[in-house]
Amino acid sequence: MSADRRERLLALLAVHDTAFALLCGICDLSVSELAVTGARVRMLGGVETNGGVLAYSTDLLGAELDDLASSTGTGPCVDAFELGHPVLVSDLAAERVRWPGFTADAVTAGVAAVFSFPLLVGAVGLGVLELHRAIPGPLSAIRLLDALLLADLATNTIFDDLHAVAPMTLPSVVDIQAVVHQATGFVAVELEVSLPEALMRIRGYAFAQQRTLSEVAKDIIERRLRLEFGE
Amino acid sequence: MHADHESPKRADTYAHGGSGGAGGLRESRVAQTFVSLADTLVDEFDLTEFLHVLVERCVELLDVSAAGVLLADQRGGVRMAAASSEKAELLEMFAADTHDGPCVECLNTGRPTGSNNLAADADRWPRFVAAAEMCGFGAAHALPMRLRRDVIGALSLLDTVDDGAHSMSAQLGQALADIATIGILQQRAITDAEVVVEQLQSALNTRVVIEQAKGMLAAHSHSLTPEQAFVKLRGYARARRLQLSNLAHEVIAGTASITAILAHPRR
Repeated sequence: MSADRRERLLALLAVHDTAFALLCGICDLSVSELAVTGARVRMLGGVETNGGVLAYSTDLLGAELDDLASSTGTGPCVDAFELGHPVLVSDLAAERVRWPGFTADAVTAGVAAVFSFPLLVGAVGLGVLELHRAIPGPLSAIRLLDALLLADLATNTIFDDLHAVAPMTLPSVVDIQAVVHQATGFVAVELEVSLPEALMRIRGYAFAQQRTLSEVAKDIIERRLRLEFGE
Repeated sequence: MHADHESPKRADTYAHGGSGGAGGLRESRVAQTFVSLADTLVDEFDLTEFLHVLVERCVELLDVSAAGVLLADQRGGVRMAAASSEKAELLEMFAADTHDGPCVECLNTGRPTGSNNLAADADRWPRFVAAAEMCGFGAAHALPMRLRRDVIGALSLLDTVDDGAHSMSAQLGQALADIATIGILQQRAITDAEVVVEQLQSALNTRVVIEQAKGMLAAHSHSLTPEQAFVKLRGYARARRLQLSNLAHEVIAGTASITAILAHPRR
């Protein structure tokens, strides 16, 4: 059965000819096939600095979730990547303790359920496919199977990008949140601190002000906001 | 360690199979072997050790005198990768060097090949049969290690006497070869994936470092936007034939002259 479903999904994705278009197609297909609100692919994704980047998100809410995971260094996508197994949260509001800082804001933003699938080759993690839904409840067995198949296809897409022609094409087209890194450099100079510390300061400010990392970063580089010493 | 001729014959136990006594013991040993061959996801995977387990278990479970593995290398050559005894090792090395014998043929065709009576097949593999005789083997069977189109090697089962291999033995041997193949390909995929992760991380880091350098230059300038700062950075790198990513690294490390970069005329 899974072979048939895999063939079917592959046929639906056959129109895409670049690695990036395929990743986008896999996210779009997740939304239409799995009855979720949005889907995104994050490449890499540990907790260390620059641990993960958003490759594509079908909606703004997904981008917000990604921003939130980056700012707090926690969330289902971080766990799925680090633990190497799917993290299925059918009722996010009930999981407030598990991801401090992440859950409350995600629920406020309108997310009720999150399903995170690591993109794994053996024990090596390449990224995460995460689905979010505005209505709570589990994924049905057949949708879970399709989600796993789509995660597998996303894994192959990233993996195959290497074997095509070097250098890889994906890293140059994905969203690395340029504005956040620019602001990091900016703050490092202004406050005369290291780059990791500058990023921590921006994250801390964004969290305290309940604003997204990219909004705060934009204000910093456009000189509308100046972080103070010791903030 | 080497068990040429001493390997006990267990044809009866195996042929009668069954659930009780020695048959049950064998079944659990087979199951154990499958598990140990399938588990290549360990941190310290060692291909040589893995193939040694394979050939030793073949001797133990398949009622053969010796076993060996030939692997295809990246350049289309063949090399001896493991053998259960010194004589099997000699013979497999000879087969790899001379490109003769059932194991090499099996590797090329991807099909099981062999002879229960090597002496009678001397015209088919003349050099191999002569060498096998010197090593004391009268029968040789080769099973492909393949997954779909990929033939990565051949598993050789060698016997001292030409009493004919059991078809059950051949089936179990093929199952062992299959699971080992999956294990090896899985391990190769993991190694490749580690390379992908490194490349991905380094390509992304390069982009991050350039953005951070833009931000630092903008802050130093007191007036430029990060994009305007990037024009300066790129212009400076071009004029001095420096790699943009290297220059950006020097900026964030504090070893580049930020004043000189900002003073670079726009082009």
